[in-house]
Amino acid sequence: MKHLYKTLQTGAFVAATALWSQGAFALGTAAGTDIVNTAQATYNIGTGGPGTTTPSNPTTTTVNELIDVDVTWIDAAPVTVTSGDVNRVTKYTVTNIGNGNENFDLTSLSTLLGDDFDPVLSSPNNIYLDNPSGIVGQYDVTDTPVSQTGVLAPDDVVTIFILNDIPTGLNDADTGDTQLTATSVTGTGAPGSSLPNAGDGGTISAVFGNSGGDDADTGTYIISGVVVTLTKSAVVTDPFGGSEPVPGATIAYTIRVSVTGSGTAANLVIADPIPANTSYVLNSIRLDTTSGSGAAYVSQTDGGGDDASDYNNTNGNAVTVDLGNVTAAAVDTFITFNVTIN
Amino acid sequence: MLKLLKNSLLALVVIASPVWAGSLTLSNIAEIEVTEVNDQGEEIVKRVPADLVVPGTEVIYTITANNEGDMEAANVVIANPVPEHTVYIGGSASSSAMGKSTRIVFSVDGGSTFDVPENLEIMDEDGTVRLASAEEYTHVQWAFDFAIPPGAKVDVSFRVLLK
Repeated sequence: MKHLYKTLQTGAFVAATALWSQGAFALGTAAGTDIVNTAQATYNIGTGGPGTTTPSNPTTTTVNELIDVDVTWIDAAPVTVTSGDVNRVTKYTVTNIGNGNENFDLTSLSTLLGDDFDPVLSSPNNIYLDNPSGIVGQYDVTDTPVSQTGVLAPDDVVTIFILNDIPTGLNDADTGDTQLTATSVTGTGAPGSSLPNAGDGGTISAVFGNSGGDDADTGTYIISGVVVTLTKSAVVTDPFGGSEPVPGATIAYTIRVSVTGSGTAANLVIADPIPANTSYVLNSIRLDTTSGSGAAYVSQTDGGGDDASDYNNTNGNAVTVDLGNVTAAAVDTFITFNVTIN
Repeated sequence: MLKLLKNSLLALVVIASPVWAGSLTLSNIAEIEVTEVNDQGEEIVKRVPADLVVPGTEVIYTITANNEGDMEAANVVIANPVPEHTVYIGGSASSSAMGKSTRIVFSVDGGSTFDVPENLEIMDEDGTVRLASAEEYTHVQWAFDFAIPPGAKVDVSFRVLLK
């Protein structure tokens, strides 16, 4: 006979299993929890004698505090910087992967081996805790300089920023590393070793997990010498076939966008206000991103959202062109539009 | 006088019942395994009381049935719920009297019914029927097909992982 049970009855066990299978980041049984076990026997006294039941003594095992921490550098890629930059930010998470309440000391280090240059930790503070005011998940002036995470409950995560200044005179694509270390205030020790009475509440032991009570991760800066140069030129055509800037004359402006050096100019947006005493000629924006010479213009609309360009939409009475990410290797971009002199 | 008689009867009952129940006693210990290095530099796995447990620790429970009476204990069945905050480790249940035919079965319904692992199935919410995994067992049970003679002991054991 097969026994069939519905998930309804066993849901709690299934859920518990799923949590466990998440490994190190599972919420383990809380420090201080008592695990009680009691067995029971049923039997007959003598063959055919009266049936009886007897319980065992209960065993009680108290769960100790597991001290375990994870530090992870979470910038998506090396942080692009240029020589001489100040207060450049790298971003980390610190997670209490133990089962008790724990505070962690935070230290930063930038004199690491294996990179091209040493960033210089910002002074007087260079470790900041992301706080709920200002922009969450991004360094801003409301974030507080700290030397500890503060007490973290099991599975609590905080975001930490390390700020460095970048030395001058560096070359394109040079990298520099900086490191955040979080160390349990309770202490550190070999995985599996323990400190008596050092766990939560002072009556249970503190047992060191795989991290040994401290963890570090390294973030990287990369020098990107990307330089964006805009060159604007104007050609005047007057109503009389000449080139005098008189009322009624048309001015054709051309903006040449050059990205040079190395790396990528991210989210490059060109905005050009229409000069005073002139009027924009509707639907006159044209864009050449392919020829590198202004030989392959494509007409743009004035409305926003349909192509890379707009007039009086992103910025009032201005031409705005969103070029996105432009690499130093890309050909020069040409933007042209017309105005008339009032 | 009647009251006195009642009291003495009550006293008799109280004295009498431990004599019956006391013929089989169950003792239960919780241990963990630790690895130590001996004088020869060899690693030795040693069992110690389960004091230093944290999430992820394997705990070994050993239950000893000791027949302290003068009659044999027949049809002995020992049942142990898997303790809260732990999961049963598949294949870990054992008996010191295995050679004498001990039937080890499990429950996935809180101890209402028991069966061998290959017969324990669970229906998921989407209707899929699958074999229950060891982590889903709620109880372990040992049924002895022999009587425990007076003065004899049988150990049974199982392991759990602390969540």
